[in-house]
Amino acid sequence: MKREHFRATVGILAGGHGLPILRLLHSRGWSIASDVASELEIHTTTASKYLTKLHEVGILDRRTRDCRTRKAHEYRLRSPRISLDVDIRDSQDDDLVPVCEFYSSVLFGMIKKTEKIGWAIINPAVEETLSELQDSSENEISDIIAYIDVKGGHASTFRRLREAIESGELQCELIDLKKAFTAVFERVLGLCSEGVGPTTASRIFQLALRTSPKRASSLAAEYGLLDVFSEDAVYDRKRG
Amino acid sequence: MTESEDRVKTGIEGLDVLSKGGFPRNSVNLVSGPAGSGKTLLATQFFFNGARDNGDAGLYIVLEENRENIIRAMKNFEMDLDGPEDKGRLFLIDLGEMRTEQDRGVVSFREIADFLESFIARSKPKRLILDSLPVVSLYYRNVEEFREELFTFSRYLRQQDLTTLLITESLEDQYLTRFGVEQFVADSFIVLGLEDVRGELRRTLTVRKMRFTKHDTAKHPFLITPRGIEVMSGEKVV
Ligand SMILES: Nc1ncnc2c1ncn2[C@@H]1O[C@H](COP(=O)(O)OP(=O)(O)OP(=O)(O)O)[C@@H](O)[C@H]1O
Ligand SMILES: [Mg+2]
Repeated sequence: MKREHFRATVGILAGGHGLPILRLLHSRGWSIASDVASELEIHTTTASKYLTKLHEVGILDRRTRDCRTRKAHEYRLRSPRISLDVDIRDSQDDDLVPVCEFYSSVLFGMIKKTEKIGWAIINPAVEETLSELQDSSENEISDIIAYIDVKGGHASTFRRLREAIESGELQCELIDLKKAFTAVFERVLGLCSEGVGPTTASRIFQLALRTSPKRASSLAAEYGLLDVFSEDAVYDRKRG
Repeated sequence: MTESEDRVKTGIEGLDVLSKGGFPRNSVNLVSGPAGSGKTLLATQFFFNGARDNGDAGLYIVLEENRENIIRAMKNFEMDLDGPEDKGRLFLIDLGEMRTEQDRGVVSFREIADFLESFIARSKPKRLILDSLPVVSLYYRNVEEFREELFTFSRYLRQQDLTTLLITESLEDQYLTRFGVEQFVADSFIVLGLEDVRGELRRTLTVRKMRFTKHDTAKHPFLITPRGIEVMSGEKVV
């Protein structure tokens, strides 16, 4: 079982209505959300939410039934025994690539945005500060920074990181990526702040975050990839 | 101080004659007029000519249009932002790009001041253009609040080593300025007009106010030529 799948499964089973719904379906067989809702005296949307998720993680079967007015989904328990097959040695490695995608897209989102507002001198400055950072950092961090291709942009940077991770050329842990990119963002935010002020810099950052890929952003939330950069933190830091 | 030291030339033909040498140095100036009256053109000339004629670094803050449109319009009037006049001195910054849904789609004077604080220290512009005030006004709930913040903002601007041109608009047959308050905070006030004379549009320019100077107060016709605005300072509109 993949980690993400495991998380979703545990999450839904741990929810207050998870097991009662499964027991009900065990005794009733095929049921629709409103049946479940009225039996358990919960809201239909709540029942529906649980059913959908339990189906997504493979615990329930689903089929479509034509009602008078619309189509409805019916659910039943796939098996009265639920097993979780988890190999705890599965590490976060699976997520390293999407994490790189997230970081790279935010970094280049910022650079793009500053170009868009007409402050293009950021580009050479970023290159310079990154090479400084690379020289002054510990190996784990500078190894990662070496893959950032300022001229080539997000596509190139992400491709380089992905290939390096997949081929084993770059051996790193999530924590290293986090450290490296936190340092990178600190530098780039500092540059922006110096040039266009902390408020605008922070906005550039927030706007870049908003345009990063959805899947990557949810990983960012889960792993706290940007915890040091909450909106207020960025602002306060730059205010000194 | 000599005459030329305490004045900042716009480099616009005729206008510097009417104002007796340009805007007062380190002052806050205002240009108003209806849509299409040439406010942006006047401002881009003030911006560009500063670098061309005086080597002044300039900062043009766009909030209303997008950056590319201004660049294109400037090119039409022989003002090339990548040309030799620029030398890295002309900054056309589109703060409108900073909009997010959360902030009601606009930036405030405080935010612009925060931006300027850093930008001035680093790039040292001598001329600043803000295009335009009505966009900033959207941030505020009412005219009083807008006026108060504009007042604080212009006080901040006067403390900087730069000469500012603010753009506002006038609505047909209404106040001279959009909110009726902008001209009170400014040291000088230029009004552009578009008049219908027997089916033809006539462009006019009036210097309504110019602190520290005895200036020409008449309404003058102006032309838009391939080189930009040319004010006929010798002719008056009656
Ligand atoms: N090549 C040209 N030759 C002559 N006149 C031109 C030329 N290009 C534009 N114009 C005129 O200049 C005007 C544009 O002026 P400008 O954009 O500076 O107006 P504005 O007052 O800033 O308008 P707005 O309120 O819409 O921003 C146009 O309305 C047009 O009449
Ligand atoms: Mg305009």
